[in-house]
Amino acid sequence: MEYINISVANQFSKTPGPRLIKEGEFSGELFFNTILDQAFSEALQSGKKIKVDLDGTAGYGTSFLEQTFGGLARKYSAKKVLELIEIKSDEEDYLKKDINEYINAENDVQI
Amino acid sequence: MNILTPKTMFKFSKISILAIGLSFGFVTGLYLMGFIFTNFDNVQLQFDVLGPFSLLITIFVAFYVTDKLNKSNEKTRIEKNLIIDDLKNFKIDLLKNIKFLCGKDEIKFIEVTSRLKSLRMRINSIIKLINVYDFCGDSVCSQIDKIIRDINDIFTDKVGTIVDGRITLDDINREKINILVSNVEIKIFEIIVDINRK
Repeated sequence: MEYINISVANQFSKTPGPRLIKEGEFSGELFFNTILDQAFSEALQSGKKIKVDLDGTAGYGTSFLEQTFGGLARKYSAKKVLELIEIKSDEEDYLKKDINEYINAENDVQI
Repeated sequence: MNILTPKTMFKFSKISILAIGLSFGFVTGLYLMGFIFTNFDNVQLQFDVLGPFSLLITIFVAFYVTDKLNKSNEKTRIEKNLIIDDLKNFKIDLLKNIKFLCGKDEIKFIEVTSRLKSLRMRINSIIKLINVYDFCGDSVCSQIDKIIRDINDIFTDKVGTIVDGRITLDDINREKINILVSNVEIKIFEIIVDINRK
């Protein structure tokens, strides 16, 4: 399986911000609009999967992660997101569980 | 004040086991040596050669059991003490960080997320160690992680006023955070008790 690799720290910011663009810099909304949504559309067309690397940042607000991954599930369905997205987080492995919750909150799909 | 710490409790149990063992040995010895109390004025004495051996064996068993109990209880004591120290230090740092963040009228978003990342990573490392040694049930441990996430949630998503990457905390949310921190303290206490009981 081929992957589209996204590193939040390298491609977006080492200091991810709040939920919405109007709340401050490097928001979840901005990450969704400029990087993740485009990558997801590409993955859908090409049959690739997306690997999102969360390591290397100063830390995430729950709002950033919910806006990003919950937002993706709201747009494309939780089932599709769970199929195509893979999370890498060696520093904070518990974030995978958190993100699964945000995705599943949009749908009762279980991994 | 005389406080019963695990160490003193163990000493106490050691002495108790020894005393019970000796008493049991003494009574068994008396019985085997043939002391038969017919009444207080008339005591018949019969000598049994096996009696002294029995007494010695009883004393040996008392010491052996005490020694075995001691060793099995102390086998993981170093690990227990290190984890308990980690939990206590984590509690101190959590209180210090939350006091700092809640004490400000306006906090930088990044300041909150970086401090909470550090705290959550730390408690998760401690939880992993607790699970490796099976010192405590997983549910209490995972509750602490959940509470730290809830604190992050209040700071970064529930305050309602985040402008230009700066969080303004109101009194209601400040109070909610303090309640969550108290819950963490209670969970830490429960875990320490569980670890000492193992």
